[in-house]
Amino acid sequence: MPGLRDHQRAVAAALLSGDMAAAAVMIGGNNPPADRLRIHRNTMLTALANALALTYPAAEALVGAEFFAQAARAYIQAEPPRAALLSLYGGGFADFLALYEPVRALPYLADVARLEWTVECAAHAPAEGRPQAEVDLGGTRLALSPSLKLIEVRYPAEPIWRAALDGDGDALSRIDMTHSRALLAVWREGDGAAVSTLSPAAGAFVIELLARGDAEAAINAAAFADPEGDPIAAITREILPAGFARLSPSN
Amino acid sequence: MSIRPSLATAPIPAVAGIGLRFPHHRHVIDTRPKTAWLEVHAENYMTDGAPLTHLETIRRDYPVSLHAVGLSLGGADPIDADHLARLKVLAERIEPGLISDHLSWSAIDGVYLADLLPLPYTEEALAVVAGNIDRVQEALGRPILVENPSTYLAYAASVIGESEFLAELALRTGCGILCDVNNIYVSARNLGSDPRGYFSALAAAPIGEIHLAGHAVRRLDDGTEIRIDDHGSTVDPAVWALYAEALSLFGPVPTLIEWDTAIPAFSVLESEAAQAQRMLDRHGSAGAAHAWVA
Repeated sequence: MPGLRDHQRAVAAALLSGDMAAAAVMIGGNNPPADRLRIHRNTMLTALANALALTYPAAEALVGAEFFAQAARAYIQAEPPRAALLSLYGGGFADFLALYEPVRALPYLADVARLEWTVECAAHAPAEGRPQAEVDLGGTRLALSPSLKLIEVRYPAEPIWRAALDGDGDALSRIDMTHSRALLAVWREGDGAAVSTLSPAAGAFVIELLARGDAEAAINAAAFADPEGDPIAAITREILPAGFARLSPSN
Repeated sequence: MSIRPSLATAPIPAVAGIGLRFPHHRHVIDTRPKTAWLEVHAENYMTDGAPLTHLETIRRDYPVSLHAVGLSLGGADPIDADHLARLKVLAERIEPGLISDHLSWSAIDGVYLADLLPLPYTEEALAVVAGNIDRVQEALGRPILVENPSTYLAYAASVIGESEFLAELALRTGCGILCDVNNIYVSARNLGSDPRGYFSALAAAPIGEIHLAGHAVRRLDDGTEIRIDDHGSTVDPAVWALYAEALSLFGPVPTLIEWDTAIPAFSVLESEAAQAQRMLDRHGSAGAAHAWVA
């Protein structure tokens, strides 16, 4: 006689594959179990697809709701959640899209999804708390938000993401979709998260600060990243006023 | 600063409360509606994001109950230790009056299926669920409530009635019962059983809370009518009638209006809660703390 684990394995296999036969036989009883198992499959797929749509609204806007639901189903079956925490389900969706044949014509889509996942993680990170790095910049103390995350993209993910969220087709059509490497900063702001694209010098500065927390090394890294530019100007323009930077007078 | 006394470990009173979802956070924080207590899905507050910040603000003014959907109390897998730890951290921050989850399973072999799935009611399942409840109660340091599920399926292997199964769990583990009257009605209609028979086995069990919600009626391909517990409409008249029976059997019990899909204006929830309160009033609810104290 099948035990509890056998029953649950059979039902899980049916819900994930859509093939109800074996589980229906095991459940037996007077009801038509296959039809009723399908209700549970539908509940599961709807809940998980909704969770993905909440995390990836720009990707959904770019491909349309119907196509997104189809991609979401394929992903759910390939990588079902491993924890009962749906707000953080779907971290592998961008990598899945990168290899998903039906979206091959949209090479930037995976980068937009990668950005959306980073936004989701930042929105669920603490807004306050111990900074990730804290340095003295000659009279000013610079601290980096505990929620700050960096992400490197190969396509103009930030403008595509903004235009998709705004539903702005004109803005979208004006974006040069060709390959262009960029470093994005993402951090918790209010109830959500904010994003900015960093120049090579400003990006190198933040990467070095996060890695070693040494101001001088970070300024050198910025100079090295853009030998023609002015690293102090880039830091002053992009880092000091940024939402992820906390400034205070140093003692 | 709140002028009210601390509500730490505030019990949930035996009056009507409202299930709080994210779209109403702002309304509750800004207008502080006259709702006696609120219940939230624990899993929506397990990160450091805005929902938790909001809930901590709301908790200063209302007793809160945590309703979990992810413990998989009926799972053949051991309880997910990470998930249990997240629930414990949340309970320490929110100090809820009640904590509950369902008589169902959601995960097997480490895969979470995002639904409340039915169990075969066997001696083996009884031992598994009781062991899981023990583990959760030990970790949280308090008893929990276990809710009867809405079901579409009955296993041929079941040898124990669902309400007898719940009553036995309460005896073995000291847990209380969250009696979802809508679920009793939905399951009875789906499985062709008598909803009234359900209460008799529960009469001696400790009923800590009642849930009320709307459900949808669909038709399967073979023409069978099926009731889906979607929490997306007002409470069905037949469920109100069953609720009246529950109150006459159990006495006044904290009663929650749940509404989770197609969420309406908060005032719609308030008017459902007012209906429940009128019925509670007829059964001697005076707003006093309920006898079943977690």
